[in-house]
Amino acid sequence: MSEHRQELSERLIDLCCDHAVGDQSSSDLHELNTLDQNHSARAAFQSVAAQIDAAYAQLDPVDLPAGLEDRLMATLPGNAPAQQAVKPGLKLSGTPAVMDAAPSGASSDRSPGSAWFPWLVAAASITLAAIVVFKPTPAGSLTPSQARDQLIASTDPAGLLRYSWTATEDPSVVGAVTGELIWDEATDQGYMTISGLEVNDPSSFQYQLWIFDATRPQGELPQFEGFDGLLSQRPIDGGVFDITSTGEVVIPIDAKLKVRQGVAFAVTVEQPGGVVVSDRTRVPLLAIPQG
Amino acid sequence: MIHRVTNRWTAHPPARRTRYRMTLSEQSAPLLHLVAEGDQDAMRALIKRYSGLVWSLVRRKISAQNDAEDLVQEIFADVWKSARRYDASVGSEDTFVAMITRRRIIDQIRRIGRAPTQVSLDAPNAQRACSDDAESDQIDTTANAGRVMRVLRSLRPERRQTIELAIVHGLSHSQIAESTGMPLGTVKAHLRRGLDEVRTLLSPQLPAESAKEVSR
Repeated sequence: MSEHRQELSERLIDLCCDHAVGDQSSSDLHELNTLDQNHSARAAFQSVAAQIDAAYAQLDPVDLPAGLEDRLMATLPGNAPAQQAVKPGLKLSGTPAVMDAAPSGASSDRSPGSAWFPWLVAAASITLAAIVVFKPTPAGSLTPSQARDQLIASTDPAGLLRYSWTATEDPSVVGAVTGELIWDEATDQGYMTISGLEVNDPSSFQYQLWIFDATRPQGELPQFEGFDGLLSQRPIDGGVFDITSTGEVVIPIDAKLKVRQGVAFAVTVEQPGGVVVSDRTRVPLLAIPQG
Repeated sequence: MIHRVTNRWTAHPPARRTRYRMTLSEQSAPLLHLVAEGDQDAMRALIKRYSGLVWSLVRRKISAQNDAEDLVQEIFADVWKSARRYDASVGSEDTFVAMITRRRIIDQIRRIGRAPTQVSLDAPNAQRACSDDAESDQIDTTANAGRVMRVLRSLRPERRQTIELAIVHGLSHSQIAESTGMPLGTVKAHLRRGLDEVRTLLSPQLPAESAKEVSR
């Protein structure tokens, strides 16, 4: 097997590492372009980063959303516009990527008319997207409270998690905490109903919800006292939110990843905008199995 | 002090997650050279084979679901367009696809701002992924993935953790410093030394020429 490894200067390695993780200033990129004119050094590090990222992805995969594979297939050039599958309720952020009729450099016997396919598909997609975006949706016009009630009414009670809050002695608990958290795993939707938390100034701090999924890897930080491993998984970010009233507020849960088996929930106090890693120093509310 | 509760964990045992049973490079018929010729059946097969990988890579770093789905479409359009650059003699197809994916993710993050989504209330680390216990989990993955994990296991823990936060979770240098409490310079040093060490240990199979094409 051939040996591809290049001997590189310390500075070039620095620049290549920054480039591989996408954290590089324009001046450093300019310097990299000067030092690595044939792109071979940066490519080596990009390849290493890709292999690491792919290895982790294979070890801890994220399930494909329903219908995404079909939508990818629909972008192939041979598919007619009518075959474009648009996920119901999906707001398309722009013109979907549509594959050219032939890859770059490939020999092609396409007819002149086939060159219009991508444009036809794109035009059809824009039309469909416009319909999707501008068509009023019942859910979109509901208040959080109404949407919560609708979720409760439309979901089999057996499939709906409903946990009352367990308050702590965190300073943000300023009154008798009432309310509950509901979560429907079938649709990955849920709502928090909360009263008794301090109204926050979003420029000072915000609240953040964390979802503990029993199927996720175990974490390593010290666990909450008295819970004996209940909150031991690496949780999923359930969204940053504000408390605007000491009365009852209803807040939609915004899970950033698919929740396979939500078993517990925790609200933390974090810096504005939330955090990617919480130090767990302030946990005003927990929603855990009762009974 | 958190109020005492008497109930214990009542959840079912953790369900085994769906593994990629897609048989990647070593076990599957190569597709990219067919895709490069405009073979749409090959492209369909390639989408089936790699959509899970691409989605997993994207979803960890792009928070908005719709943005993530749009980006996956752009990535496969890019793979379709760039397939002719792939050289099977110098690298695996999954690495080629992952490189394109990462490049597009980085471009997207530059456009919309860095907002990694793979989050953890405790410090994310490579311990589980690199632990001996996890090795049995890798039976369904490629030989290369197992090799990468073995290499990562050999690194110093702080280097391994920094690599995971930067590459897998998409955190910036400053975000890693904030998350771990390490000085920014230390974060950069761990990342540089760690990645260079991995490069050295993986070097016999580095797809340098193929990678060079993708990096352009």
